[in-house]
Amino acid sequence: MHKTAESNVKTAFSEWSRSFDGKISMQDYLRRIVRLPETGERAKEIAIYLLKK
Amino acid sequence: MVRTLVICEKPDAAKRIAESLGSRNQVLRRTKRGVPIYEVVRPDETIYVCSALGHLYSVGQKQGMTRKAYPVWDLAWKPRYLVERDQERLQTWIGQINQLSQEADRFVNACDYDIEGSVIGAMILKYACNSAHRNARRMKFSTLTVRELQEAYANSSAELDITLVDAGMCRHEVDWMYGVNLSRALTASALEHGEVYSTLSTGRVQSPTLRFVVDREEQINCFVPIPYWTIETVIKAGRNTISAQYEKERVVSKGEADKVIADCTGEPGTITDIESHRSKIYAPSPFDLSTLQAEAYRHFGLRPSYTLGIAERLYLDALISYPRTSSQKLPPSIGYRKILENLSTLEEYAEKVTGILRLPSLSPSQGQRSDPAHPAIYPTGNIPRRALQPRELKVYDLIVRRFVAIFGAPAERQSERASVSVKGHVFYLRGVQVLTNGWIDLYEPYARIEKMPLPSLSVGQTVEIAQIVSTERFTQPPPRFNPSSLLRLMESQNIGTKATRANIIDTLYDRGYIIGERMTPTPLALNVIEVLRKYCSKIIETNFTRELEEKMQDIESGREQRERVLVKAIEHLRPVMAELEAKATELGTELGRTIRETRLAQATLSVPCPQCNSRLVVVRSSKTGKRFIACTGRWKEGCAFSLPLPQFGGLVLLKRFCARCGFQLIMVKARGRRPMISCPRCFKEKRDEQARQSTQTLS
Repeated sequence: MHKTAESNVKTAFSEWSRSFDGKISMQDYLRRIVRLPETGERAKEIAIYLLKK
Repeated sequence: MVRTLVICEKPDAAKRIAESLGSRNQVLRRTKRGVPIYEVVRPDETIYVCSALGHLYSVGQKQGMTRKAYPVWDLAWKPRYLVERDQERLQTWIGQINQLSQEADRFVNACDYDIEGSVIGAMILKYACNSAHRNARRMKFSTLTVRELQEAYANSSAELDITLVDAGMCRHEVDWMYGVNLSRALTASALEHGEVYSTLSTGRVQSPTLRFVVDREEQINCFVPIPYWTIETVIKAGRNTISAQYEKERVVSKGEADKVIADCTGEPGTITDIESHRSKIYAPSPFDLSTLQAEAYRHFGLRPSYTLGIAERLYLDALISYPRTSSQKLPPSIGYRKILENLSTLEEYAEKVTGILRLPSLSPSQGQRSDPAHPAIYPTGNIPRRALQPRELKVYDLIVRRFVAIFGAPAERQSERASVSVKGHVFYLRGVQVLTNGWIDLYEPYARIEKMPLPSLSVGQTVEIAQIVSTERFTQPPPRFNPSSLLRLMESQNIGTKATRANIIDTLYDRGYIIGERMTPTPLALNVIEVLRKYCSKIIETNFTRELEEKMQDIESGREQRERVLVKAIEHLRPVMAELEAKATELGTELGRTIRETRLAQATLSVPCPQCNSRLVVVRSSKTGKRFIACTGRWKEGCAFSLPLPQFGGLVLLKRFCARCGFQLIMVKARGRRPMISCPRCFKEKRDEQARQSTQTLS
């Protein structure tokens, strides 16, 4: 399941980037999705892992 | 004189059928060893009416095999008391039917006219009545009203509905073979290779259904929201202020949203166009079982299985027609006018029904689906003889109002849309006017149309943007299933039947695979499906289950033979069993680990020990066998903290906490009792306090 979550986290970044006209960094994006209640638990775990990396 | 034995499905139905076949002084009720039997003495014939208690015969393995052996390919139909636990009283029941059959020279199957009813009756006639199924007759009816039962008895068909019986037997046999073999294989693998015993239930329909819930949970767990913006605008037109919608429902970038706000703030707008569109909303179709279940869930929050149970009680009281139907059509032969006339005698429906009765002709709306055995669900027009329970009353009211509404004229509404242009951006002002309420008046409070007319506007009129803001929003994960939406998915995927789907969902709850009204799979379910996906994905695929359903429908319509479908099912199951056998070590080890982890998680409290901060767990004393909450710091820290627990029923650690002391709450569920929610810590404190007080009183 974590593989799907990792793929979703990485794919969604390009959409976030488009939404903010390229003015959002990967770190900011990860920090924001960790705080959002809509983000799934596995996706949050991946985001936290990527932030620590 | 002819002596006829009529077999019914339930005691209530037997009573109603007996009372319909003879006048009051012709019906004699006697009870033999707890089994009610009705004797209807007519001038030319004596009719014995007896009933089953649902299935009296069931599929079991042939003699000589243990309850743990697998694979099992040889099966036999046996009395249920030999196959299932706690069914001993059925032995008396079968014995009494057998005695009656020896006095009879004509036999009639009067069980509910569907697959299950046909199987119940045929098995009783075959095994308890010395193969009387060969020349037995079949009563076919959709309501338990006197008129219909008398007609069904007088016009009973000369032979049993063999295709329905075959289809039903095949379903039982295939489901038994799948359930027993797969469940035993998984349980045995976990015991042998995972060194843990747990009955792992799986089945032909159950596993694919559970997979739907697990797949949805995985989608939710892996979901990443995407931002978008909505433009919320309030427009002032003369004295009126109206909410407006931006031309794009979702603006996908912040830059674009900011530009709309910058362009439009403080700018005047012009109405460039006003459109109006009339549309008709036609009356809904009559209820089939699944739409009734969906509607009862939507309005009253009743689980599908609960709605079915209530509908069956209403059917046994002859208040509604047979509920296990897929039909959304009502033929004129049910007598629309007579039913409506009877309903008009009930005060709460009188006014609306009288209006319908004034129509020169009655033509109800009809749905797409049909069922060869029964029409859609409708009220019989009989007046309830007993006070209905609150929930029964709700479902009955829903069925009656739906029935009345299907005769209503279409509702007519006019949608209006005014386009406002502001510096190249377009905003819409929307309104709805209801021209005629039609059937909606009849179906209230279960349907209504929002009315929101636009004020008077004209093309070229200048309006003012009173307020404009952009709001950042996020896409939402797919919703969790509820019992109603899962049932609809099973139906659209064609797995299970209208009679079994609701029970399968209940089984998933009972086996501890799902919890909550918004279905959340438990760790056990997630892990079991993961292991099955890895080692034997065929079990959780819907394709084969769906294919088998189609084959069984073919048996029903006489296009397929039961034996061929059984062989096909075995041919599919054999390689699955071989695969499970070959991978038993890996499968068993993983299942064992999963079960242990699940048990540990289920037994570990989320609050720490208030004395030493170690983990608290539910344990069972090896000396007394009693369960209690103990501190894991006992061995390291010497902590003696413990709390007592109720000794009856199943224990669930809730994710809720005591409002008084903050300790984790527990729930105890026991059969026949309401679930009990309690705080173990407060309970202990209260008990200790009471003990102190009684000691003081004594001293």
